[in-house]
Amino acid sequence: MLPVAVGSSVVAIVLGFIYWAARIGFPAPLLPIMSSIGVALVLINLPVILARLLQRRDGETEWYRSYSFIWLITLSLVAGFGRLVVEAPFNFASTFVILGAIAFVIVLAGWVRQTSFGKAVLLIAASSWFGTWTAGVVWGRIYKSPLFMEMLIANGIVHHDGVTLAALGNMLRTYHSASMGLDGVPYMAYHWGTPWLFAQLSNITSQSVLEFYQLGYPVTMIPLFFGGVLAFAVQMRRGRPSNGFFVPAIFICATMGLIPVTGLDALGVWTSNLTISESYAVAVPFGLMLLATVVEFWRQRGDLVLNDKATLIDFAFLALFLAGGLVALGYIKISFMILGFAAAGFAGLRVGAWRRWPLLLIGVWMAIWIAFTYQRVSLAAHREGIVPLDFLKAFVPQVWWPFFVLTQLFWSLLFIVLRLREENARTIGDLVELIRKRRILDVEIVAAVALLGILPGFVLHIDGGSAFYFSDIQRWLSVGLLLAGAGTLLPQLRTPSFRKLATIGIVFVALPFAVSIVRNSIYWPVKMLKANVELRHSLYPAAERASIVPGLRSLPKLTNSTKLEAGLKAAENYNPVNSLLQLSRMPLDEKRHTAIFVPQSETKYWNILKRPSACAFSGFVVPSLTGISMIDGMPAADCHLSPYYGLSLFEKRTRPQTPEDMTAERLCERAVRLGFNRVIEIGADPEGRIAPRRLFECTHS
Amino acid sequence: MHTQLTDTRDARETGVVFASSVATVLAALYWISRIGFANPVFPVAYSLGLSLFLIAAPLWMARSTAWWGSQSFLTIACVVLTMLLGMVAESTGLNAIPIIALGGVLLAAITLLRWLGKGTPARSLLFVFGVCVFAVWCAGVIWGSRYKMPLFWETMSYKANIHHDTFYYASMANMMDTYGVPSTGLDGIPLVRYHYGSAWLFDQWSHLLGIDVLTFYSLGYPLIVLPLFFAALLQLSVELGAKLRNDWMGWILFLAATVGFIPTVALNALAVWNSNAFISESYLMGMPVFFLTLATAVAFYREKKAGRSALIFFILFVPLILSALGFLKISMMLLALAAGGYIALRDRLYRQPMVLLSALIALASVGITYHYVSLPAQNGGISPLHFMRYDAREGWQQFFPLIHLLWTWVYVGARLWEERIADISSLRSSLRQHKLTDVEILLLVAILGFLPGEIVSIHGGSAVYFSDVQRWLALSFILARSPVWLRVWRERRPSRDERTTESGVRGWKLSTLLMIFVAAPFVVTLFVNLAQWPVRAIRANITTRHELAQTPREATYYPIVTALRDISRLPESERKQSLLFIPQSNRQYWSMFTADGRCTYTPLIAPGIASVAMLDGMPSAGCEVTDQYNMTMYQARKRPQLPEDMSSERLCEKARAKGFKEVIVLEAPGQEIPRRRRIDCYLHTS
Repeated sequence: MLPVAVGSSVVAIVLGFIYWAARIGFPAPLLPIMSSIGVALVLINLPVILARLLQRRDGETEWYRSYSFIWLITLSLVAGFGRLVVEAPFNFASTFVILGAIAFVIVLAGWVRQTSFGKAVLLIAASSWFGTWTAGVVWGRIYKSPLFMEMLIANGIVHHDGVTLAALGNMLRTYHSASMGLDGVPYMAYHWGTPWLFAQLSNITSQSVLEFYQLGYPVTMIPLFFGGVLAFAVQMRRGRPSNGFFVPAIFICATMGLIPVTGLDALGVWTSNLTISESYAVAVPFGLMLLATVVEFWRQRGDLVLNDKATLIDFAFLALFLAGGLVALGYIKISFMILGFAAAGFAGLRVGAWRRWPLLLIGVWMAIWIAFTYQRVSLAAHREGIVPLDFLKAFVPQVWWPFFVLTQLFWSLLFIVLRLREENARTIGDLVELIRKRRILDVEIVAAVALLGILPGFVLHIDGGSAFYFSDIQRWLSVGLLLAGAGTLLPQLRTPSFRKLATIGIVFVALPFAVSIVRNSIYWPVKMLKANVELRHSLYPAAERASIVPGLRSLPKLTNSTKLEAGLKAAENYNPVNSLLQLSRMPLDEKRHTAIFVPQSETKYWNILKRPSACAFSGFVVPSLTGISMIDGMPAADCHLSPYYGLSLFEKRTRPQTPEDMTAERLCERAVRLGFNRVIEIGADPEGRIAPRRLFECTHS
Repeated sequence: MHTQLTDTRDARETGVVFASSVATVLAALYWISRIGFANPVFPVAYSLGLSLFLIAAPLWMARSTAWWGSQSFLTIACVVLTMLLGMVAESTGLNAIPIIALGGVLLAAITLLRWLGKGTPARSLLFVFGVCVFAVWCAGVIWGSRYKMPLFWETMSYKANIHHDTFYYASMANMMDTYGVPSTGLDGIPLVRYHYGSAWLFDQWSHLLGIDVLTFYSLGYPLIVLPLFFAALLQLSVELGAKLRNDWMGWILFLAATVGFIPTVALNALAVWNSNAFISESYLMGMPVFFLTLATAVAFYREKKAGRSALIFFILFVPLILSALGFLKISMMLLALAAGGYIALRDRLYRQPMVLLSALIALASVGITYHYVSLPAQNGGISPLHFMRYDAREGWQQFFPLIHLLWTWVYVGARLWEERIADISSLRSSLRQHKLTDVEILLLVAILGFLPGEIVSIHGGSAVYFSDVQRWLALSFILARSPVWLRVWRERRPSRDERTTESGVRGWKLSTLLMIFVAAPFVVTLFVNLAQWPVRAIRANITTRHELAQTPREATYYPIVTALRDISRLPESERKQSLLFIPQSNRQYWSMFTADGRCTYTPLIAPGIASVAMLDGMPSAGCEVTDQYNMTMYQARKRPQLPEDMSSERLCEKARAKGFKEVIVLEAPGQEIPRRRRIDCYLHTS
């Protein structure tokens, strides 16, 4: 586990460094960056240290001493700590910098003692390379950026996901309500686990929720995602031999892609969506760690549970830990809960759990909780009914349809084939026999998750290609299992002999794929850099801009902070964004009973977001930037509204706003009804600057 | 009959049945595509007849194992014969096409009947059905782009949405026909350097068929050259040992290599251009001659007979065929020369004075031909990995060597497996024993074909005409070897008893199921690819019909196209001494290619249709003139055309300077019907 922790830590540090470097020329306070790295290092390394401390001398490990269980507990404790200190007068960011550094040094020292210099250099170099790739993936599109706020100010071209999720996180942080805060804070059924988590982590990393989405999330969660897959593999390996060549090769191929990004995109195998979707990036390691803990439990206690020798703790594990874990997964990403429950049910059926009444009861208990959670996290607008081949029609060019299943489930198929080969299964008869003897339960579960995961996209309409978050789960499960079993599933590679024609042939065929991996590894970082350069270029004075050709080479010429600041100040969105950011500094207890009202006439505000159809999301700017809910914050009547992002929960504006709607009485009446006693009206001052214009103190009477 | 010929008779007949079925289906589809328009049967029937003659006659004429009696050499001879008959038809009016066509149909029919009689009816019919489906795909590829189409004249008259390449070739063919000079005829008839052999050949064949050159490009070319290409490819494979009948593995590989087993967009992205192989007339005509030359060489090599036969082969056939290849497609000449040179070096044939003499004559012949056919403008200078970098899709370049040369690698890999060559030392030993000459030749063609595009920039992706040759050659080799591979594979795999003990569904092998699962998308894609081009051609046909039905004739290019066609029907003696002048004010003509930004190619239309060279025929001053298509032979217009430039005196002065006595002026200001005016430049001097 030590190399995994060191590698993940290096990725976190590299991400933090790249964030800092990407902001050269702009204000880049070190504390949020360092504390984000610190939290990441704590989450990565502390479980390793604790697991090693708790390790038994005989090598056996109970499930509660396992790395995966400790990892889950650590994450929960850190999040809980964030929740506790939300209003504490002391800033804990520096504490986490120190804690993280200590944890990393302990792990690093332990690892350095065990490894050779060459291997150490190789791992650090490879992790840095991988970290650079992940930085490109997460910051190479308009979803997240080290210059997100500058993008919002300069041109308003940012993806609405960032704004809407930050609004949700802020409402959870301020009002403890899962709401979008457009007109009060009514509950929104949505998997709001990550906005909640990020709100808590933002408390201990000295940054706003919106900033956390740009900095904290990539630095803390992405290393956990990839590290989680590797950690799962290490825990599942349990004494089996590793494979020095195939483990890194499989990991790199599965993450960066074996064929060019354009080809992967055409086949619906998306490399960037893993990190774009925060909920997915958190759910994968959480789900894998949960599974690893359950497997660990079953290895030790499975026979006892099935043979009437289980203790109360064993049943409590299943009824509380497993059920609670699945419910938590539902709040993080609904697809994981559904597939996780299906996998648990399938495994229960296969091992004959239904013959034991306590297990049957636990199954029913879990089903009730899952059903309840489903109601709490599933947005009604997302249930859009049956549309055959919906995902294919929307995201895969028709000529590639025949290849969809093969490529989408590639890693699962590979795992299944290699496992069957390992079991020497040659015929259908052999396969039936293996199933009957329950020798390939892992294969069956992977197959079940793969088939169930790919089905929604074939059958249902799920907005925005989110069917991918069902069908892709099998990739990480099977990759984890492949990595775990690589030592026995795949041959150990000896020093290749280039006198053999087969070796030359394999190298010749493999070469373009290797080149593709290298090209993929720079594809997203180059995009990220280009976007960074373009923004800087657009902020420079027009006269100088003309003499600088925008491109990667011009980056060093575009770092003058005075010019960049002047460019930002001259931007149309500077004033409204800045005045909203000032409001965000209001103490939390004041925010809790305050709402913001922005009249529809304030076009400077309502046009902050500039992408096509962005009007639907303009209301989210206030909650995401200030952490305060709006009242009467729905977009204009003529704006075409998306049914998603909780917009359908608020009343659509059917007529233009009238002066009567904006009187103090009407606003207060509305505010009180929604649970606030103060309204701040934002509007243009006599000089045309957007700022708080009026303050209404409303009483409940 | 000799044993060698008897042994391979069935395979040769299979090849003939394949090619003649393709020709017949193409003819039927052409005729069907023109239903509702002027659709005379004779041009289609004669084209089919000529095609069948070239395919079937050599089979029946082949009576000897000598190279000159081989089916492949006789096919070349038939091409030459029909070309000569075309020349005779033009100069004397005596046209042998009815006899040739009838002979072709009869010989093809007899071959088919004989062939059907030898095999099981179900398999034979299934094969013919498969060939017909394949022919429909061929029709789609060749008529599914805007290069050639059954409704060529209708499309031209309606919106002139025809690719300019067709007019480039047609203009050269017409200039050679009218003036006997290879030129594009944009301002007089300056000599151009280009591989205009196919244009000249098609001009002779169009005389034989009694149709104009442009109609030949859309009718005769697909019906004659495409089946001839397949016939030649199969002849080479038979010469190398192919069985063809019942060789299901060979035919599956044939389909995969031609139609493609990954989507067309992916093939295009990797510069595996199916349509280009069929669209380029020079390439598709050059390749059969290249294959037939190789097949003749194999026949010669097999016989290894010294004497007069060898003397003729080395001293006459080799230099002449290399030169002919150069005039057809320069890449073919260079690759054939390299292959011949390699064999001469490899087998130390240079020790024979006759071979040495042949090599010297061949080199001289190639040198002279190169001088005439090489167009310097196509060479864009040294540009490392140019074709791979710029013609493969961004991000996919690294796969180019693997995929572009895939069929060569397949053949090489399979041959090494067949010979059980597993390491470098056994490879070296096999090379020393000359066990892998076929592999060496193929690799040589592949590497030499690969290199030009990776060293220099060749205009318009034409590097593919070097690098693509290996695909077809490899395919021919694969067809020849696939029965052997299947036999060896069966011999080497464990017997059924050793493999499975269970029966029924439980005995199904998981590896077979996996193979089916993995292969299924590729098979589905192959069928999708099969349908893609024909669907495109059908759609284009329907769209043209629809548009024509809705548009009045005067709103189209019909008047100007008709006027130009009328000029082409003038007596040759009259055309020969005339130049055609189309004033820039004739918007009908000069706007034909401007809709999609092709003003530079508009001048090629008039010589291509009217078969008369133009006078002052360069596009308007504002048009950016390309440096390709021999345009640099002419002076680009620097200023707008003035009334003085169009006076009879000025035009005659220019015409006389170019050696012409008459000027035909085609005027059509606005949308009026073009008026033809003749200026006799003798009168104007007096």
